[in-house]
Amino acid sequence: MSAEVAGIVLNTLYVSTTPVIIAAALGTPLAAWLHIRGGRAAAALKALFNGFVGMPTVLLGLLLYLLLARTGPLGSLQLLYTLDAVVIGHTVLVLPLYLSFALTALEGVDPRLREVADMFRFSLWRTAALHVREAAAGLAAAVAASYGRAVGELGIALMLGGDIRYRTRVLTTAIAHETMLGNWDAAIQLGVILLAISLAVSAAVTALGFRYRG
Amino acid sequence: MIRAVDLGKRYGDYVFRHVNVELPERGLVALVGPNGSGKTTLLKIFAMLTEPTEGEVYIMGTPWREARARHRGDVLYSHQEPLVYSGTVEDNLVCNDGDVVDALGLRPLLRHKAKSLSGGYKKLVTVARVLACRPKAALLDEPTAYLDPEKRRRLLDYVTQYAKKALVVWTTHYPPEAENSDAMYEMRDGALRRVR
Amino acid sequence: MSKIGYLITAVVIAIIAGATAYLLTTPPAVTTTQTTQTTTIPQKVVLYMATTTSVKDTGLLDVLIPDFEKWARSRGYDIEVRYTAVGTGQALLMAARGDVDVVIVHAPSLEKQYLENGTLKCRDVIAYNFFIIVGPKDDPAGARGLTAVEAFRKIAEAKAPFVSRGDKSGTHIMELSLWKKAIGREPDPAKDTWYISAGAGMGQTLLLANEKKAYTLSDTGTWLRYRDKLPQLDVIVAAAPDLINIYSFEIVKPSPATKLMAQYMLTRGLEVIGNLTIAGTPLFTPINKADPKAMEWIKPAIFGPSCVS
Repeated sequence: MSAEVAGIVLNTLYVSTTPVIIAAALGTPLAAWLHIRGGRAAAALKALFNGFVGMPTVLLGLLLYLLLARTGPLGSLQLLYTLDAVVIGHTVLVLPLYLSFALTALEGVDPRLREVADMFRFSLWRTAALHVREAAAGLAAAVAASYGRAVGELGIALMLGGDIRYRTRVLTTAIAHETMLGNWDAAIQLGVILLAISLAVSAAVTALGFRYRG
Repeated sequence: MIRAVDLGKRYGDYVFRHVNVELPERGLVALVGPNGSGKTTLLKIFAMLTEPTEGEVYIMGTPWREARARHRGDVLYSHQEPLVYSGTVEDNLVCNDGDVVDALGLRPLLRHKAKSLSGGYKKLVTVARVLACRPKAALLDEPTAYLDPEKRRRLLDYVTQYAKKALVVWTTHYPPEAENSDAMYEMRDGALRRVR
Repeated sequence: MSKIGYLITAVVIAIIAGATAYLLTTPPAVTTTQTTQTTTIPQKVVLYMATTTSVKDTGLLDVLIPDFEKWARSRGYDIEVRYTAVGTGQALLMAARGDVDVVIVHAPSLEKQYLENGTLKCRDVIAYNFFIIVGPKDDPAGARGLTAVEAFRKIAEAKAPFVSRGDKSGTHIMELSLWKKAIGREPDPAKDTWYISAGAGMGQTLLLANEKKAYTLSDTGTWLRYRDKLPQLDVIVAAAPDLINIYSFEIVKPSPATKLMAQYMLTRGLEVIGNLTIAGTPLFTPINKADPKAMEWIKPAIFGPSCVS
């Protein structure tokens, strides 16, 4: 593996791992709260997030572009065409997906545990932790799915990162670039690396979720 | 201790109606009746997990709604099906109580993963969780189900002792098991009546 | 917390720490003040550039931009160029919005408009190459060797299948202007069933043309790269005056850094551009190596103030 490809892989890992960590850090407590709270407001929010899963990435890319461009409200941050902009884009992309999966996982938790939590007067924190632990396998699937989504995303990486050689090139944009150039063998090789990463993360996360469930 | 006045519950059709009963502060009370007669529903209402549809329930003299805020923890319900969550047996026992642990033979299992236990031990943990917190009223839904004769004996022994200082209401399908109880009620055809 | 809990917490903290360290080590960019006339260049400058997908797909930017940054560093300037490749229309729109500092495009007629309305401040032609018309080897429309306009006319007459990029790219705009000159109108995919609008990039369009044994307008670079994947096709019309494709560099927001880039484009940049080859064939002819015939055809596309004077 050449140094340049190694750099591309590192870029990919950065723009895939960071968004998923943020999405999980924000999404898990939010999903736990939504699940425990129940009620109409929670159901409405749930429907909202499920709807956003279907947001076309081109639209998301355009909206974030308008936000981050020099003439946009956040232009002074000079984030556009950096990996950080891609991280932002991927986080927004992946968060509804994670929430959707996480809520489903939490809904699969034995509802009687809520009764135990009520009777024994668990704090909100303890109740949430209990539910999250029970849903660990499903949450692991949520992480794996979100990671796969981020790692394979092309549109956002292209629109917000620019596919600048040595700087913002990631595996997906590199594959697209090599394909455009007609270097299909190189494109396929990069594709294999991408798949390997996605599978490795999925396997690791699933195994962790399984063990954590105890 | 627990008083029901003209208590009724319906999910569409009535599960039971016009239930009147007064349960003492101490003693072993058995609740029998056919499957699906509403024993669990009654216990859950007493445990403040399910809301009554009509009538009134007083927990330690306090009306149901208020009691749910004030007397949580005084009345605990043990589920019919084994209920354990991730973690060790020790994690599953919310309260520390060496007596219960020893009496029910759970001491050697404290570090075991609760979910890897057999159904019988899981059930024992479910019941132990309630008893370990020493509630003023312990409502046990078929506590002897899933238990082999030895575990059953140990449980009944402990429960009989416990009932000398607190209220224990338990359900069973087998009236012979309830011989030792201080009182026995039967739920049948949507009505509760005292048998003994 | 269980052992696994500690492990997971440690891993998460490690990743967050790593990400934070990464973030902190990428030096913050300092914006230039474009209006100053001072001779001192601030510590680090970020230039935003818009260009077209055709340019990017030649692979030119992969060598040109890093080379420029190195060239600038050797002269004491720290410049980072952030570029994006979009459609020609979009690139010029970004210029109009003020989102970018410089552009490289190849649509002289559009560039003229944006020069006149003040979006583009100056312009330098830097290179050219030719579009080519490719088509089925047996050339059913008899278009071989003609001028582009004549060839298009023959294709329309013969109703021979033609694939258009249909994506408002520079190539597509060139194609449409040729149709207007050849048959007085743009073909309508609904009525002219021989005309296929692909809505795709150049590579995809060529592959489609190969499948359908159709004619299409292509840039030289993509044709050369995809040659071995297009067994059904051959070059029908090569370098012709109406097929010339002229690339220019323009400044949107003048600054010392953009001026430096303009200087580069007309000196070392030309060398780098000229060295880009596929299988020995150069993809561009830099403006300083233009042959006299081509210069004739380029002359009408030279207008506007130069960026280096």
